[in-house]
Amino acid sequence: MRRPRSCSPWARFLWERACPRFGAIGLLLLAACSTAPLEIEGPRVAETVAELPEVPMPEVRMPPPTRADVMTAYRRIYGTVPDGDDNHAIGKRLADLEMEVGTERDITGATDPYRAAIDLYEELLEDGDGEHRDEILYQLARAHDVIGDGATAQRYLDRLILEHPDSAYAVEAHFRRAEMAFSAERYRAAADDYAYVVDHGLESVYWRNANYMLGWCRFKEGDLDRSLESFFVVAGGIFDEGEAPDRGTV
Amino acid sequence: MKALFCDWLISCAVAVTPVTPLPDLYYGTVLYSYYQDDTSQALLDTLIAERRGQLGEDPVRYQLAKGSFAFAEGMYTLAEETFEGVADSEMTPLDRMRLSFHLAREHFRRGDWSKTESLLADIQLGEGWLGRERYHPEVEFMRAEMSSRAGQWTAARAAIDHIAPTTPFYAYGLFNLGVAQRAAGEMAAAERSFADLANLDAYSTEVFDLKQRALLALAFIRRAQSETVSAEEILGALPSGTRYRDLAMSSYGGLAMETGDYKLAARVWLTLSEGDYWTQSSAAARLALPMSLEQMASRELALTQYRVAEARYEARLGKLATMESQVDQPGWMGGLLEVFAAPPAAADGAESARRERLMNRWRETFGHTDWLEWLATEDIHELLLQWRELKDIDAWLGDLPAELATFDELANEQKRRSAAARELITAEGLRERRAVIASQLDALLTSIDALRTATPTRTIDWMSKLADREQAARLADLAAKRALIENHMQGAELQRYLARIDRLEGLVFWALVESRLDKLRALDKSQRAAQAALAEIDDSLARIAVAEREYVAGVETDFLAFQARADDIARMVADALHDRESRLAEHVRRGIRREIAQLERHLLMTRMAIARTTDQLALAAEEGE
Repeated sequence: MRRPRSCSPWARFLWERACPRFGAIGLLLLAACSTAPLEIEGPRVAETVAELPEVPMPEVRMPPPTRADVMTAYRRIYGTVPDGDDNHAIGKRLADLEMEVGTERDITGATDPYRAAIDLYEELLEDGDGEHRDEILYQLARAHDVIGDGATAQRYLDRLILEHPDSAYAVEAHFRRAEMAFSAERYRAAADDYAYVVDHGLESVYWRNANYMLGWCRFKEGDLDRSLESFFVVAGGIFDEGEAPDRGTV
Repeated sequence: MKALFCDWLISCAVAVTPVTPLPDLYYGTVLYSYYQDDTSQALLDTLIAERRGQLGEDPVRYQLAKGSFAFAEGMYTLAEETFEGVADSEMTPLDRMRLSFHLAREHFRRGDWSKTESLLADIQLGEGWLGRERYHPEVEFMRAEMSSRAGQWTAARAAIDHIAPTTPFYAYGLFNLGVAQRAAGEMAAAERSFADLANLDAYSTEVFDLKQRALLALAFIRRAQSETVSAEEILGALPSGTRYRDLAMSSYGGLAMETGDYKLAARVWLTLSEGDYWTQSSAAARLALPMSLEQMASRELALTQYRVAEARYEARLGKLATMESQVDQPGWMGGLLEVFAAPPAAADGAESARRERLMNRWRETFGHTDWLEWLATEDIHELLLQWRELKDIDAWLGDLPAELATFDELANEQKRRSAAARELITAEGLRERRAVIASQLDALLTSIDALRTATPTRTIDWMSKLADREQAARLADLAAKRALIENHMQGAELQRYLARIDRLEGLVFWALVESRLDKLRALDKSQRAAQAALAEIDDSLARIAVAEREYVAGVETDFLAFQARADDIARMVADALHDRESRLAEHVRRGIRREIAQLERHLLMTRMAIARTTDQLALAAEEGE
């Protein structure tokens, strides 16, 4: 804020100081300088606001945006948002949409259908502070698993389980990793992950399948009594609900 | 500065005994210039008075005044040298305090806080006649600023309270204190400072303006503290006719958004975003309008308005980019600065209209008048003043060619006259005529001398000098006859004819004696005529010589020297103008870049909103399927 340069207050100050010396003259000068305080003229903001016109709200019809429209809109801003969290969220949404595109391309038999999604997820993963890292790791594992790159998929599952043990994806990650180990005939490792899923309770959609597969792992390892325990738990559940066993889907 | 200087004046009026009239008169002239805010003239007068030895009875005060004027003119070296030249022993304690004040003021202006603080510590005005402590408003203002910088709010407030509330320093002190407290997160203290200023009676437009700013700041604090009703009351009570109207309305709209009154908010945003006027508030309103529509209308309408906002931001950014590239062009910047050019002494209606058109043109070019504020800070203001003075000099130099052309015509006329004079000398044969007349005059003078000085004798020599043609012929005839008689006659015949010759010569002699006075008068007359003719010719020749020597040659030489000097000055002025315009352009460029940065943020937020809304519409369509 600059300093004032107005003359009249200076003059008033001088006259005030001069008064004791000049007596009546100083008082006269002071009186000459005095004026009434300035008042607001014209309407106040509240009055102006009250008079503002209404906003027209016409009905707008437009074709619903396609996924491509949405992706174009996100691509325009991804990487330009100064707020890291916002930028990460935009990238995450874009990667999810790329994943959807990948799924469609996979169905049509396109080559390397998830490449764009994988690249984007991996880029997001490099952002150490980004949110939803567990979900990104999960999606990367999933994408690699779908295209048959089991080793990479398992690496991402390992990271997910190690770095985000409390993640909502942790139970499923253990289950998927157990499935990979079982397919590779590493029954002890598979049994550990299936047991993790079983221990995390009935709420998981993978609980019954995990129990069932845990029985198979114990069977393969020659632990028949304990395998029967697992099979009885599964059979009991099926008989209670009258449902067919489900190994879960990717 | 003015206060202290006036204080000196008052002290002079009270304490100084009458002195000799001339120095006092001159001192008064200096003060007159000072009171006209013409410190440069005051400084010039002071320097002249010093050179003439007219410093009056109190040279110390005079030197301090000179130093002050130099300070005011930004001639800091001269000011410091002047102050240093005043012996410490010569100064009274009050003089020392005045000096400390000037130096503190300058260091404060330069942002040298430690020096300012140490100098301010030297200033203690003591008690007045009534036993009250005396304070100087600007000193207390600076003390308050120093304390604020150190976070010493109580000391800052105490210094402000020493200032009379009717002076702008009090209002500025409070406002700056509130700003410092707010920046330090001391919201309650900031609120008190702003509230005190808001409740102050304003006796000047400057303080009135500060009050509006304080009220706005107060409203922002209340809003930040979720005291929306109080904030709304403060904002609503602000005047609509000030430059803070848009900011107040924008805050009003923000409050409406916070309280969920999107309809009111949208009305505010719509009003602010209409037209092609680009303030901070109107720029924000263009984005805020679809944001509020998103809450109260369809996503499709919001998306449409987001796209409108995006298009407007993009267009505006394109325009700003063009402007930024033009800032370095001297013509562009010079054209803008024309708005700040000094009005002609006799500005008529046409000139006022031209200035209004100029202002409107630049307002339209910029889309706002914020650039007036960019160029309104103290430092830039000084640059602008320099530019204006240089512009005046440039205009004066620009008018010079016409004057120089007049000089040129004058010189040509002199040349023409000189040539005519020379031709006159030749054509009229002045020099030849002068030689003839001079010769005639010499002959006349010889004759006159002879007539006056020689005693009349009947000799051929004497007579022949006075004889006219007829007489001379007769005398020659008689002399020839005398020789013939003497050669051919003898005796009495010889004597008789010689006597006859003598008688005839005697007749001529006596005729000459009788006509001598008449001849002298005639010769005198001829001599005077010859001398007058000679003087006239000499005068003509002298005039022609002077015309050639003094006028023609002199004017021509001066004109050329003057033109060369004017060209030098014109170049220096052009360089200085270019320098000032470049420095001012930098400030304008910074302002443009600030707006670009702000708009880029708005554009990005708009595009984020477009992406989000598009996504939501696509998801809604999917769910509908």
